[in-house]
Amino acid sequence: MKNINKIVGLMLLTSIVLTSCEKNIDLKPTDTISNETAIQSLDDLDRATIGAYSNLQYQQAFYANTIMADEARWGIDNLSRNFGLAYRWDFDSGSGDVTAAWGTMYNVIDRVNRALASAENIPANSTADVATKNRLRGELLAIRAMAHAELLRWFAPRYENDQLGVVIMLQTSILGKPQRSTFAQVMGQVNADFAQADALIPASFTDIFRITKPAVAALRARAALYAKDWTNAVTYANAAIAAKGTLATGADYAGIWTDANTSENYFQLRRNSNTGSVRTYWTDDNTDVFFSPSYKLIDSYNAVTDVRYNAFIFKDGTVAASRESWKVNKYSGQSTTNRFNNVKVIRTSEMYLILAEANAELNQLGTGATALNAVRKARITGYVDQTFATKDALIDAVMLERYKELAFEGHRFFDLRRRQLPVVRDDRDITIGAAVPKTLATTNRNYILPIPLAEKFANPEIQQNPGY
Amino acid sequence: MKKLLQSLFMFLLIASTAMAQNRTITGTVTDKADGKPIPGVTVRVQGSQGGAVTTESGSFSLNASADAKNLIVSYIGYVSQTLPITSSNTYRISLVSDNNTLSEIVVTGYTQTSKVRNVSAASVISNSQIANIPQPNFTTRLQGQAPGVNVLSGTGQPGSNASIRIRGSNSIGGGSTPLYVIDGIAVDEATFSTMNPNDYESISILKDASATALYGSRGGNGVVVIKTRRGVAGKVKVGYNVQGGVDLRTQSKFDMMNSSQLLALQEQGKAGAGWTYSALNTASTIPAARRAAIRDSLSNINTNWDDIFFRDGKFQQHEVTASGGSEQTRFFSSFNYYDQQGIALRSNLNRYTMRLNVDHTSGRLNLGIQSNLGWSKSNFIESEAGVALANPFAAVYLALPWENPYGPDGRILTSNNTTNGFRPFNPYTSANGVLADSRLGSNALDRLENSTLKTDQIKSTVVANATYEIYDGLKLTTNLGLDYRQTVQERSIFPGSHAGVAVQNGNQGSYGNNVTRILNLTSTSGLTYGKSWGLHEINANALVEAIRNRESLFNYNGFGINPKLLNTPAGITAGTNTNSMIPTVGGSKTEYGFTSFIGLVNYTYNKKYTVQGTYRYDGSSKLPEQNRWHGFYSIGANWNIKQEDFLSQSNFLNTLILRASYGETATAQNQSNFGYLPTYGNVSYAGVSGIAPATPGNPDYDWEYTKGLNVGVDFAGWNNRLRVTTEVYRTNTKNNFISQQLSLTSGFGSLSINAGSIRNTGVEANVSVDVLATKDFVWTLNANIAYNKNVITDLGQATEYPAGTSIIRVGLPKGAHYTVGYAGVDPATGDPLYYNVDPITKESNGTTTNVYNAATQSTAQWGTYEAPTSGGFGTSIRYKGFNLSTLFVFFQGFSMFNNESFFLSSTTQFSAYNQQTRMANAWTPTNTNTNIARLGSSRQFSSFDIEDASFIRWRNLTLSYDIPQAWINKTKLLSSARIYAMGQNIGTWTKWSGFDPENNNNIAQFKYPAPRNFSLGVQVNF
Repeated sequence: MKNINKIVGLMLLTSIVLTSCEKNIDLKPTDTISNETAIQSLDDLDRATIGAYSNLQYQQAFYANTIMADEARWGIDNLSRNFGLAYRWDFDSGSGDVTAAWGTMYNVIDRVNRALASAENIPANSTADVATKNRLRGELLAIRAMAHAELLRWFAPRYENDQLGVVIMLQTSILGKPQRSTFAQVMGQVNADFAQADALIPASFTDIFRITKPAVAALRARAALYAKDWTNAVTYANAAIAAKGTLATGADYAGIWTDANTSENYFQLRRNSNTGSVRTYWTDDNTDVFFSPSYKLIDSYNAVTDVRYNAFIFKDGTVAASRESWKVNKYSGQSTTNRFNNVKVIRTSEMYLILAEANAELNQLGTGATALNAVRKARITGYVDQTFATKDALIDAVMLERYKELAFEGHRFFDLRRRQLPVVRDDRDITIGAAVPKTLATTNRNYILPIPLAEKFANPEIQQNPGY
Repeated sequence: MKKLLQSLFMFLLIASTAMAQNRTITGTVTDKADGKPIPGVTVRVQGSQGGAVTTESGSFSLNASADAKNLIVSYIGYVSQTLPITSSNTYRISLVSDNNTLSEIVVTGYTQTSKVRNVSAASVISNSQIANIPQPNFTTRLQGQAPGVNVLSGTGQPGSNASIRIRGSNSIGGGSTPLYVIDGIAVDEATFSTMNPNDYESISILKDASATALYGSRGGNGVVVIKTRRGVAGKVKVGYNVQGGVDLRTQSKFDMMNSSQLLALQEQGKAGAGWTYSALNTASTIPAARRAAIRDSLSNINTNWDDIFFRDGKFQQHEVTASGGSEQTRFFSSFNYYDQQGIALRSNLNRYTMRLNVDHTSGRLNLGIQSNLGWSKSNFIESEAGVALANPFAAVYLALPWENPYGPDGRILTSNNTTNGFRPFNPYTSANGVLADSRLGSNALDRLENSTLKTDQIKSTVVANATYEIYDGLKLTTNLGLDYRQTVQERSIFPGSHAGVAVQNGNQGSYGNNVTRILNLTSTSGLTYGKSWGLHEINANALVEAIRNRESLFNYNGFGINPKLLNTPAGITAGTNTNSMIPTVGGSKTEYGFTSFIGLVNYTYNKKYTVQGTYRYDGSSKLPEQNRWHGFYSIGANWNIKQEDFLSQSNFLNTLILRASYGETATAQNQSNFGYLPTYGNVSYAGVSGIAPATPGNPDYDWEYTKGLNVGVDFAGWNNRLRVTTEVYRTNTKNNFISQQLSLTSGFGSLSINAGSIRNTGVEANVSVDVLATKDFVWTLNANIAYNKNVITDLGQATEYPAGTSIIRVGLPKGAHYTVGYAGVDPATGDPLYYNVDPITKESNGTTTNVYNAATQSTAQWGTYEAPTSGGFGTSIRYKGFNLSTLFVFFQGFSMFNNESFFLSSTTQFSAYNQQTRMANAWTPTNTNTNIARLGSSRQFSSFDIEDASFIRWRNLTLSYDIPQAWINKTKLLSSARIYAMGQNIGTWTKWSGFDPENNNNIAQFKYPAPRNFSLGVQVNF
């Protein structure tokens, strides 16, 4: 009896002591890093930069550009589960497929801005540290410039200086409701950031999974092309080619697409998982084909002499007659088990094509033709150089070459928009799938991509693109 | 000498008188109605501490001092008696049964009160109302039993959990889950599938602030307080209960096409097999005769997908209980085995539970232990309630009727015809025949058979409590609880199957586990005081409570499964950087704590007027320091009008009580553990680790506060044959978490801020009438109904915003649907028409257009998915040993988005999926007067898919028979026996065309419907 009382007394006492501890509710999380201590050293800055690279979903441009243009055809196995609305130009601002880049790019820009703000306070004493800090700051600025430029490609209604651009974000603002700047203003910021990045990144930095000096030059060339700044486009393209300008030929070219060869890649995004790989946008893992190369694209190559034909297109003879046999071979994987590839953001051949087009616009037809011929010679065996009499003939040839060279790489739709050309599909390409339209006129609402509905809801004053 | 003797005699006399001070009082206690002895009755001398408890035969024996005045005899369910102690030492006491509501005990937050002195709105449900209902989950058994308590059952799959909503949604962004408390410690709703509801003796659902304020920051959504069964003194009674039955499919109302109808539709729409093999297809390269032959073959195949995917599920339950003990120590134990198969292939639940409750009394000390251990194993179907082709409830309707899953050798032929090291699945070549479908149903069937999704859950709860009476009425109490739960979810995809080949890393299946471990420690200690003297009665509590909860999650997923070693991690292939089979690993750890100080005072004057006040000061780790501590108060009053002089003589009126209460609580269970902190998290750039911002953080993070006013009336009359309880309430919740949509330029999509307000106003009523009440025959009718009006009153600085297919907007209820209005079909072109919307009034302006624009055409005129009116009604009849009871539940005034019809009545997807028969009425140039648009026109989300889902469901019919005592006595072994038969979800009346109108959200997406169940059981006691 006494013992029981003692035990009970002890129980009561302990429980009262335990309960009065404030420590019970003063808890800190174990799984997250607090903001104040996140970026304090150069190592942390490096990690924050990697954090920015990790969300650069550049491949979003691949499928939107291909599906909305004339590079791809609906596959027989596609049960209208994927991208039906984008393919039929029947989307509105609520469609996530065509507006996802807005959120992704601004997320990357925010990561860059926070890292840059914290970088101010990071101590760097030795020359090596100062160099590293500068390089990291340069990479961050280049990422920000690239992200803004991508946003312009996606969402500017026309690529003209007086048109609506996108929002310029230079610092973190959680509750802000910013407005869109003009195309010219955004390009100005892009160029300023690239210029600073160029100064900060040393030529000795050669990791192509991150942004290097040649990559900066290449990205500047692309941005200048979209801004119709032909002189600078020529300058930067030449600078990029000077740093890394050999065009791959023959079997080496096919190696680019299995990641065996990186001689043409200025900048690529590393990937290491089959999940979500680019290949699955064209062909499902269970071998259903969602999108095939269009007959228009297939016919544009000479199947015998053009090394690109076999690298990009695969006619599968082993499937049943009722299933799709034309398959996209670009980005089909590094090997049979590693069915993913690194995402190539920008390559040497694009530089030559930019040179060709910019020189044509500057009426330097000779120089332009040389650049175009260089690309064709590297791809087509037995090619004989061609000359062009008029500017328009050269530009048409360049556009065709871009169609053939940069297929499935996120350029076609934006290229047509750059030149204000309608999307016209081949008749053979619209027979499969329900109600596929043939032509997207430049005056059609869906020729311009909308700002996402979620943005408009959160920020009602922002200017939506016309037609939405 | 004489004087010595005299004084000695005097001394002895005094001594003997002194000894005669103590006496032993014995007696028996019986039930006045039938004379049967009642065990477990407390008999004590008024003013003394100790007491006795009657035994099995109703007899008691206790010591009393000679000057003892009164005996107090009390027992739950009977009117307490106080009788004077006379010179006799033996007493025969008969207690009158108290069938009316007065005797109900309401367990309200850390105390118990009788209904007479109760100031709060609480519904009490007894064990008999929920025992043995063949639904393994406790929350589903509560449907229709208490007004204002709605069970939201998102799925009918055994092993899954249903949620409860009490008195409407109090939270805009957070959940409406109430707090569940079993024997004093909080329990997670998700673990009810591993616990045995037959162990619950009484369930009190606390609805208004004066009851829930005692739970402070966690009581905002209501509290369900459960007390488990305890032992009763007497001979050990062993009982055995066995029940078996079958789960049947309910009728679906989809009305799908058969092969020839679908072929005709596809021919009309010029897409799909019906067109490829159509005689009208002049562009076809297949010769006409062959086309006709194939079409004829196809139209004669009518695969019954229903029979392939579904089955009748078997169900059985075995339970053994034992209870007994002496006056000092009593125990209750139970062991239960529950096995239920679901109506879809592969789904089932197996459960073992054990419970041991021990109570010990010795003098001033009361000790108790309530412990239980449960283990459950459930198998689930694929992609439940998801719009995915793997979901058998989707595949069964979407699959084409001419798709035959089996090949000539009996194997399932899927769409996968690559070898990948294994035999091809689909060896169809043109020599073998024609494949006119996409193998949708076959793929789903193959996936169901060649993968597993299992959950293994262990749950153990141990609660120890002690009460020590220090002084007259003042007690020291402590309650310590430990609750441990481990859930292992195992997901296995077999290599070599259709699903296995689709696994992206390695294409050879996968095996993974998801382990969750949660440990919860609760300690509540303090003082309680209860005393009555003269006209006054007072009860007071002062307690300190500390809660700590630790949660850890771990998951892994491995690839490259060895086909000989399925369902085990031993079959995983090690990942290298060339075989792309690197396993994925993840997990997290988190914890939270609460510290609280609780005070309650309850005072009754003259048994007529009761006033109660409570105050609870809560501190929580879930909030930033500046908002960490907050006090929650409530006041309540109760006027027992029947006791007043002007009514106490009334014969018709037995009870009339008026109650009112007001108080404040919060819903801490809606907060995330560290949601207020701005943080960076770990990200990976293809194997290289980096950091990136994870949450924006919110320094003003605060609780959602709910203030509620409740007024209630309890009425009983006509000899307690008519019992009515009504409540009227208004609850205002402010500081609601709303997801403030951020401009995407900030890098984040949304931020949770405390800015919204939502109001619930409503009426509840519970009526019970004994239409006929004689000794042998009792017929009771009962009904309960609740009406709740929910309105969002403020969204702070945020604008309205969409939430799924609903919209959150001031002035509308929380569940308001938001979509484009469907205006029928243009008779000239067959295009679907949509209503244009006036941007200022935000309502349709009557004009229509055939251009769809969700941003400008959506309106909120389509009702809500949270039913405002709900309730139940039923009857019970008792005749001698027979007992028949039945319950209907109804929900009125709500609609849901039928996402199923988006695919099954589609003008664009009829080539890929089977369609409902109403599609045959699609617009054609000759059939212009119809609501179904032209085949090939675009199909968008609109009000065409929103349907009224109000329903009445015949929930339960139970018939039981108690074997007459005479026959029982002949067996000499049994003490009682009962046979019973039960039917559950027998019928539903509704306009809803989908599977099951009972749902927990706004959209019906092929969720597993609730099954119909019939069972038979026998209960014997030894």
